[in-house]
Amino acid sequence: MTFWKLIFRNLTRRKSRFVFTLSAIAIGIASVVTLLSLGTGLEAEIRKQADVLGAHLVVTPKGWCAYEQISVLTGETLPEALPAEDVAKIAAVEGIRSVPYLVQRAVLNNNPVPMVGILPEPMRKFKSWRIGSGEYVLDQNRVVVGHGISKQFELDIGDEIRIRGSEFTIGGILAEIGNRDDLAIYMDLPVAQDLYGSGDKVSFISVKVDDITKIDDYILQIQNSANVAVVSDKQLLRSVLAIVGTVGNALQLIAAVAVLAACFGIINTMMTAIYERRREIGILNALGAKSKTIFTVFLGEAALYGLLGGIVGVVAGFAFSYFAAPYIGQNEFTAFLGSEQSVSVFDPGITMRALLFSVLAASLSGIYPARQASKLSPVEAISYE
Amino acid sequence: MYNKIVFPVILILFVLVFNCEAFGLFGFPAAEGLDVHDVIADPFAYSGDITIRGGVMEKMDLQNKLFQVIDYREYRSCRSVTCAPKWISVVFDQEMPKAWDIVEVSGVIEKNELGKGGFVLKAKQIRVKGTIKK
Repeated sequence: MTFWKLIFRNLTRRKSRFVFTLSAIAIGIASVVTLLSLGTGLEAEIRKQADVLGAHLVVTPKGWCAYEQISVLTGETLPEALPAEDVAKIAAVEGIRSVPYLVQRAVLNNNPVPMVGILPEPMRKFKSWRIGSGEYVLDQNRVVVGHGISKQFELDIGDEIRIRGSEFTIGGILAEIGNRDDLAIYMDLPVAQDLYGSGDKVSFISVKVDDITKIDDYILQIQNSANVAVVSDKQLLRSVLAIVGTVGNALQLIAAVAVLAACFGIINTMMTAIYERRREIGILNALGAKSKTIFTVFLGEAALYGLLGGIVGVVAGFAFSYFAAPYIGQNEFTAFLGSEQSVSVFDPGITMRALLFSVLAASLSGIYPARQASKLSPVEAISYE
Repeated sequence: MYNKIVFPVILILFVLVFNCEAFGLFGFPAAEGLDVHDVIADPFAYSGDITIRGGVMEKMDLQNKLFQVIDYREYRSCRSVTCAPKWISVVFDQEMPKAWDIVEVSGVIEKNELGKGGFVLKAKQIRVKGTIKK
C-alpha cells in the first residue's frame, strides 16, 4: 500500500466524520475565496474607471470630500467649482495638456444620462475620439452623443433632444470607444455653463503631462499657478480604494472565524483518529516504523483534508460570490456606478492562493496531533484495548 | 466533540449572512430609485410617476407636510444628512418619515406651490428602507 493510499483510506474510514470535517474546511476556504473574489473584482472595476479618464493628473477644487472624489471616477454629477480664471492659468502651464469638464445630467425618456460640457477640439485630441457618423460639431444648437447612448435610446443624426427645456439637434455620434465615454451626451462648454447656470465654472480638469518622470514638478507648477488641489491618477485610485475598501470588515470577520473553526475541526478530527488508532500506531511501531513516518502519515492526512476541502471551497466560493455579490458586495463605489459589484468568476491567482492557504492551514492544524501520534511508545500503543 | 464547534459555527455563519443588515454588518440599507442629483439637474424633464432614493434631512416642515431628501450616494459616503448642499423637497400628506431614514419616495414632480419657486416631489408612497441613526 502506497503512502498516499494509506492516508486516503484512513481519512475515509469514518465517512460521516470525513464529510463534516471537509465541509468545515470548504466553508472556511469558500469565505476566503468570496473575500478575494469580491476584492479583486472591485479593484479591477475602479482601475477601469480610472483608465477612462485618460489623465495623468486631475485638478479639483480644494477640500473635495470622498463623495466627490469617487464621482470624478464614476462620471457622476459634480458641483461646478473651478472658475475660468483657474482653467486659463492651468492651461498656460508648459509641458501639459489640460481639458476642463462640466459634469451634469440630462434626461432621456425619464432616464438620467451623463451630460458633459467640453471644449470640443481639445477634448477630441485629448481622448483621440473618432466620429462614427455625422459631424463633430458642438455649438448653440448641436450636441454629439456617445455610441452607447445612441443605441440605447435609438438616437440618430438630426434627432432632437430636450435638455433643461432647450432643443438640441444630434449633430454627430462618436465611434464606439468601449468605455463610459460611450454613454454620455457632449455639449459645448459655454453652452452647457449657460444652460445649467454654472457661470464660468467647471467641475474638474484632466491633465496629461509631456514627461511622466517630472510629474511632481508639474503638480507643483499647477498648484503655484492656481488655488487648486492636484492629484495624480494613482493617488486618486489609492484614495478611492481607501474610501471604499475592498470588502467589508464583516466579511473579513466571517472568513477569519470560518477558517479558524475549520482548523479546530481538523485538530479535533485528528485527535479522535489518533485515539481510535492507537493500536494500529503501536503495530506500525512494532513493525519498525519510525516516529518520523507516523508523524508524516498524520500530517499528510491533515494536508489532504486541506487540499480536498480547498478544492470544494474554491468552487463553492466562486459560485457564492457570483450569486451573492449584489447583496454583500455593496459599497460606495458600486452605489455610484449603479451596478452590481463585479466579481472574478474564476481567477487562477485566487484559486492557487486559496488552495495553498488551505493546505498550509490544514497542515499547521495537523502538526500537534501528528506529534502526539509520533510520541506514542510502542508498548503503550499496542497494549491499548 | 468537533460537532460542538462546527455546527454552531455553520449556524452562526448562516444567521450572519441572511441577517446581515439586521446586524448592521454590511453598513448601509439598500434602496432603489433615481438619485437626487440626477433629478435636480433637470427636474421637469421627468414626467409621470418617478421613484427617488435618498436620506431624510433633519429639518422638516410638519405644518406643510414637507421634508427634504439628499442624495443616497452622498449620504452613504458621508454618513450624514446635514452637510449636503443640494436636496429635493418632498410633500407628503400622510405619515412623515423620520430624519436620517433611508427612503424610496414615489410621486410626481410639480412646481412648488409654496411660493419659493423651483419644484417639489409630490409623494404618493414612501418606503422606509432603514436608518443609520444610532
